[in-house]
Amino acid sequence: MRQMTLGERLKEADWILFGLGLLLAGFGVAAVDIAATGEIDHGAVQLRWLVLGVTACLLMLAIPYRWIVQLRWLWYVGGLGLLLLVLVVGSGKSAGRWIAVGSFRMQPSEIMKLILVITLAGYIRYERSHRTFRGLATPFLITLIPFMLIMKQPDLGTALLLLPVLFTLLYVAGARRNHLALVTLAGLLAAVVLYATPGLMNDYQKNRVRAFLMQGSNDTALLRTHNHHIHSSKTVVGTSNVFGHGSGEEAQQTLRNLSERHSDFIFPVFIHVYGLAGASLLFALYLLFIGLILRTALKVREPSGRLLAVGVACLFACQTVINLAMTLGLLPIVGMPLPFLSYGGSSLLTSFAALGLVLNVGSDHPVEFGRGDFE
Amino acid sequence: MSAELLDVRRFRMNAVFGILLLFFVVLLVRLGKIQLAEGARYAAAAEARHNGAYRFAATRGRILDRHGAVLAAPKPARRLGFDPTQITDARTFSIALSDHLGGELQPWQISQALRGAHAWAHDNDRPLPQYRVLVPRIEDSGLVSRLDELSGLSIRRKRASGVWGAVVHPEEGRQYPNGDYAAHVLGQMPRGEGQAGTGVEHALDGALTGREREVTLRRDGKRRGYAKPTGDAGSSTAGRDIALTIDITIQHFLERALNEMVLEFEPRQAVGLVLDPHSGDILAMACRPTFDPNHSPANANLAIQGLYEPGSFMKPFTAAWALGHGVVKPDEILDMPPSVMLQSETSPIRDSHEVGPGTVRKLIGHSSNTGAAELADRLGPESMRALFERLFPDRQGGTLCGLPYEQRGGPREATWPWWRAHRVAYGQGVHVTPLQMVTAFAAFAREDGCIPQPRILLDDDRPASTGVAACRREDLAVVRAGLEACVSEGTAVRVFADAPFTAAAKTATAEQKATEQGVAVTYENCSLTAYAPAQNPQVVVLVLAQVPAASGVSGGRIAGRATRRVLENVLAYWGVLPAADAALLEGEVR
Repeated sequence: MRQMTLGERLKEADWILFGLGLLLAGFGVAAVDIAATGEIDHGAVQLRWLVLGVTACLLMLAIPYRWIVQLRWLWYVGGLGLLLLVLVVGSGKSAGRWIAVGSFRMQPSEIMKLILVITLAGYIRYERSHRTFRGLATPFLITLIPFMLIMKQPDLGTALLLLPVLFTLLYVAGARRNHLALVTLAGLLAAVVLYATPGLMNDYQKNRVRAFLMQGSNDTALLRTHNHHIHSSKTVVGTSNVFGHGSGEEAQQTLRNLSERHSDFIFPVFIHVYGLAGASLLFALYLLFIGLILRTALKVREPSGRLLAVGVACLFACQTVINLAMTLGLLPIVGMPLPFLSYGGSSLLTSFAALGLVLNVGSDHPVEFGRGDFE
Repeated sequence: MSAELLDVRRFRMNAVFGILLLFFVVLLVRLGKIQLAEGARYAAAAEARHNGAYRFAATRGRILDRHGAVLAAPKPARRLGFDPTQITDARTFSIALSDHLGGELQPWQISQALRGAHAWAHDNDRPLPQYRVLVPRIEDSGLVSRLDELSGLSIRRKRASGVWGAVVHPEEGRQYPNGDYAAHVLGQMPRGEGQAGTGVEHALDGALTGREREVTLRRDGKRRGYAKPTGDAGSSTAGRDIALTIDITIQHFLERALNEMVLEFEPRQAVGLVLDPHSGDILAMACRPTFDPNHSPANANLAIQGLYEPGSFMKPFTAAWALGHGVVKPDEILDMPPSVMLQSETSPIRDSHEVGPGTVRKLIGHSSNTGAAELADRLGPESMRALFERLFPDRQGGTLCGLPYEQRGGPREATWPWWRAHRVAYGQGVHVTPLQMVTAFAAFAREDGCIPQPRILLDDDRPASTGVAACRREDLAVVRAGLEACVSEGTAVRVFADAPFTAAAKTATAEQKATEQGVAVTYENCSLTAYAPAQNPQVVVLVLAQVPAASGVSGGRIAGRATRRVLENVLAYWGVLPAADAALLEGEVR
């Protein structure tokens, strides 16, 4: 079987999908620049990460994805090693999620999300045991180990993201509905146990859930402390208009009340600057972007490639929906960046790498035999 | 792979996209609701959260006596606070700060304050300033120096000594250089949240405080100001100095006289007032129990808040009213028997001492209950009520002198029965304040017989007279003669024996019942009100003391010496006494 050349890959790649990713990232750089707190030029830093991200994307496009899938256990063990390392040497403002090497800081949990997609895609493709109830055990174990390590950091948002990825991959791979229903029920029970058992969740995490559930309450103490992020975010969203306030002084002043506005709360910045019309356009772009990835998955007949594309689509979709929902007060606050838009090198790099993987899958020719094979 | 399985997978992928689409629709609806339906509410909330007012207090004005002597002045003080976000080890901080304050605050007290401070620090709606107050006002000069020293340490030394996070903010305290002198007049600023101020400090707080400078800061999410302040561009304006009618020297005479009386008779309460009858100026006002506003919380100003039965004090007013209404002639001989049974009475009205027949002059000088009741009987209840209302109108037209929490006695009921008219004639069954009493009595010291308008502020531009006559001009000589008879031959004869000045006075003793710890106790309100010199009145003094009822207790005996002492000192101080007598008193006045 002939491997496609790099030139062929580049020719076959879905450049509309790449363009959409680049457009979203461009919006991200602009929004981050507006949201910058002044001490660091976040916009310029994000731009540098964008260049690195595009490089990573092209690199992922260049390497045949099957090779990547075949080496899944290597990536998986490496990822777990980084997650263990972060527990020892991790640093960060509220939780130890980063590994610092000089001025460079990396968030292993971001990379682990993509590694898990690769590992699960490979496992489901080659083991083919997911249609039995017992066969579901190994994929769950593969997911549960990084889940626990990420929870330990603690990073509830990223950890919870792994579960829908697993669920979607199994669902799309053809797992039985009753099995998945049972697993869903068990997951919900586990969530209740997680919340109710002392010591499993940090107080601040519980307070965020409590604050979310009591958004309509008049408890000013709660509103002023744990509910502050939700309230500030909704305030910024509520005070924007249909076409936005632009990036002038007025916009800057209103945004100053919003904490973490350059990272997890970049969407309120975006809507404040570009208005409801801009936000609707952003929604449409995300929907189109994820839809194109799913279309790629539909076109690909090779199972691991299809699962890779679905896994990446699920990653982007979950991240986007959770981030937007939390900024609009529909979900409790968790540390979850908005793909391509939020400030953060690891997030942007991983997003472009995932995009590169999807482009790779999509550019892989469905015909497995080259013309020369028949001559 | 079967075609059926492929279809299932295609369906499932479409379902994934369908769910995603549904989520985005929900998000869009939510977005529209927040922005279009609730936008106005969020806009108002954003504006409120965005602005933070910061006040720059003005220096508080001084309170001066009528000659410019300082009665109350600002004093440097400090506010001690802490910034919870800067404190990493609460225990170390508590011990270090306590050490630095020389143990004035114990470590456990500081630790207690630190508890819950973390939540406060993350309260994004907390008001400016950024720190949490530990002690609102420290006025002790030693502690102020220690705090200044702490404030002046370099950041490195603050961190090294464990006090990093402590905040010292300039504050203003208050000092009263004369201690408890005129404490009830001066009053106090509110000493803490929920406490009201008293006296002039409270009544004129607005003028004394001056104009604060208030600026508005735009604040970010961490409550830090980030823009140039807007609002009041000028600097704060210092509070106005307030001059009182009080003369600190006369206040000293009164305070000392009351102290001596307290030492001798141990009264439950005592009040002293010195008034200029012509201008209405309150020259001195003192109460017992008293307090030192530098250290102790204020107590009631009995001169304006205490309500007492006036007793025999009312008799000259009854006589003047009767003369004015022609129901008695100045030279008419009244019986004034030891007891008399008047209409509608169930028991006879008695005199505590035998007076015997005489004119109005004798009635006043010897203080006859039966004579006063006889005059009231001739006047009738309506007329007596009209007299009382004239002298002591109910709370209408604000306070008498402008001090806060003032009480005012009055006739209360709309109609009086006969028995009440009889009793009011000699001051029973009604209550008035000492300030009302001394003001009314000052009418006899004026040539027009009108009640003066009492004043506590030197720049009070109200007329000196209320225009209400307590006595007709033509009857003034008769009433004055009665008051002088009180001094020369009546109930105050012992008080003013050998006095180097002439005076006119009225003694009064009235019973007052009280319940203390469930036990009924009877007190006597003993007062002596006098003016001097008798022929050319310059000053009116009232001293009232409430002592346990006992035989021999009378207004003259209890309050007499203090009243005479104050009159003597004031007349000597003003140079009214003959030179020889003034020289005798000179040392005392100094």
